[in-house]
Amino acid sequence: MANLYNTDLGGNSRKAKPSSLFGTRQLKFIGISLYDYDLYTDSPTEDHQATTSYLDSNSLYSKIVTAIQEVSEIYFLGAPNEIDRHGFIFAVAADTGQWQYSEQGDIDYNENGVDETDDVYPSRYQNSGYSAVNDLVDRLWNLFFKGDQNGNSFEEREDVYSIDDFDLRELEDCGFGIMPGRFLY
Amino acid sequence: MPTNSAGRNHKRTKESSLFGTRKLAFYTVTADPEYGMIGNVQQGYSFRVSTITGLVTFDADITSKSIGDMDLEFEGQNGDELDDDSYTLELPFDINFLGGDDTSTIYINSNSGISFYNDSTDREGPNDPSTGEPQIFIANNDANLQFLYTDDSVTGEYRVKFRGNTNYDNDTVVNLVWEALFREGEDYIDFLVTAQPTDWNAYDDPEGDVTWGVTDGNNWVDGRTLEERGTSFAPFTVVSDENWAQPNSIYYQVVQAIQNAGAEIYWLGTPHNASEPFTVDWSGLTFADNGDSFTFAIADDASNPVATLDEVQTYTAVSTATIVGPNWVEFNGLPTSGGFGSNGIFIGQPVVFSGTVFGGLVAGRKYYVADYTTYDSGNKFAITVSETVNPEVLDITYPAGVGGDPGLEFVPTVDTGSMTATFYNYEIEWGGTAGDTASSCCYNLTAPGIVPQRFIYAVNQSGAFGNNEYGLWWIDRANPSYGIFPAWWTSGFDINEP
Repeated sequence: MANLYNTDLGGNSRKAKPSSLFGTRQLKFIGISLYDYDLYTDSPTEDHQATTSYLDSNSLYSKIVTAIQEVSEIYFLGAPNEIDRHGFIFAVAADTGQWQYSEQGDIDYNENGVDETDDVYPSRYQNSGYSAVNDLVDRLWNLFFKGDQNGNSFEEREDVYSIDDFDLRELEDCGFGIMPGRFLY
Repeated sequence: MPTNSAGRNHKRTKESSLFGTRKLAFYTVTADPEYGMIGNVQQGYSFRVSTITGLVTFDADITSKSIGDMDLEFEGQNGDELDDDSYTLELPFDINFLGGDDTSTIYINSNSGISFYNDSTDREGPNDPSTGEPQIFIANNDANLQFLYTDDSVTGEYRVKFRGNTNYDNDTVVNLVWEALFREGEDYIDFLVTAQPTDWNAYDDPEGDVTWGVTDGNNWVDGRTLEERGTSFAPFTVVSDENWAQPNSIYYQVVQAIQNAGAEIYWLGTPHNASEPFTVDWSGLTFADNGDSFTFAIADDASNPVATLDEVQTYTAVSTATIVGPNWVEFNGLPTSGGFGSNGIFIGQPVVFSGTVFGGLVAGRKYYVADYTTYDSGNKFAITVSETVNPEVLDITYPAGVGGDPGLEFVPTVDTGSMTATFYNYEIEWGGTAGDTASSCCYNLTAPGIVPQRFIYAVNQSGAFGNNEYGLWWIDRANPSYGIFPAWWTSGFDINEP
């Protein structure tokens, strides 16, 4: 058979299509940002002269990564750095972590840190004012602040960070890089 | 065995992209739009709305106008955008709409569209057209308005440009752009939609609740049914008049050239124009250029970087912590050489003091520039230094001794004298498939500009950009920080205050 590759008939094979399936999985890029914690030096923001590091054992960065891995398959992991000390980006397989976008909803945790309605996602987050990522948000809330969004802590433990505000954003491919886009939480 | 701190070493985390794949390195390809790497993405679709009947006809007499030639009426991102709100504009002449009184006032609905005679934040017009104001909906749903421009430089014309996002929750990226052109004395308004997502997931509301239509405040003027209104004039296929998906496109050729150069691509992004529609404005981060660009990631095989001394500069320090303040080492003039940077001194580069060293500094020890400023009305410079440096910056590692991210600032004593400070600049080559190189003469080492020389050579040889007859095209390594973009792009702003 004649080689048709370089003819008009072969045109469909000479296309490029955006993808993240080159030997891996479809990826979703996400940025996490904390407001009051310097992940780079693994210390509260106000402690400017901290000598600790995100590379230290049991740094909050390492705990966040562990929390993410409990619910998602990480394929790329960035690190806090001089430019962005309060956050980092990561990519997970898009079909892990139960990625769904909710309508707005109230997250109403009971004394055990469990949604009062005991509903499964996404109804539990309805009318909260947040788009939410089900399992990941659960894990991060549990890590940052074992309690509810009103500041009530429900459980005594040594490693409570009392971090009650953080952002999760889905990164958006903008051509000249990938920018933090819409809020996941 | 006790469960004490002996096991802590394995409880560390280090950045990586080796989870089931390989370490990834990201790059951006950017080209002058004249090359047409994307195509006619900005043509979009146009339509004309009759101010007498409200009926719509397509292919209006309107072309896009650059925002650089218009007046900025409103800007707001990162929480300052308009959400479920409206913005009032005054035209330089009167109009009337659907038989109403003459008026010079119009209202821009942040959910996208224009209302007349009263402001409106409607986004459920088709569900309840019996109330509300006469208005025109354009891809209306729970959107936001991030930038609003106007222009009355042409006599008898008034132009409005709306730039926002189809999801109110995305307050950093523009993906919905349209213009409206009013002409004095004419009974129509022309619209041009230059950016509009083709993916329904980019809208906050589901497909059936995204609205195009014209209402007189009581009914839809075209008599369409509720089910039809969401798509009454939404020619999506016209929006994407882009050629990058075509066979043998420049995009395809560049990707193929990179693969032919031996790169294993693990992620490939979509070509966009960097300024329109996807102008991204995160605090001080605004890419002023308008290049067509896309991002890709490869398996990163750059390793064992080699540094070559490129330049040595010497200056005379005359005091420490005396004039500018604590920590500063003060010099008797300005840098006179050093790359094409603004000062020739770069954060993170090595500096060695010699001669009669004072201020508690140690002669011959390698310090690293931690900060830079000028004093004496900008006629002299000063630096702070650190005794330590982290050679790992973003996702690259500098060779030993070259510098990097400086540690805590050294605190010198208050002193004066005369000592020589020798600054070292290096060329660095990481090699690997991409052929990454950088020059510390030209960038702060905390935000390096890294150029993949081999990719550039391969793309150039491929002929993807012809004989380079138009403007620039180039490839940069893009490092992960708050997002993934060339490090030098992020160096001029502080995003540590979310």
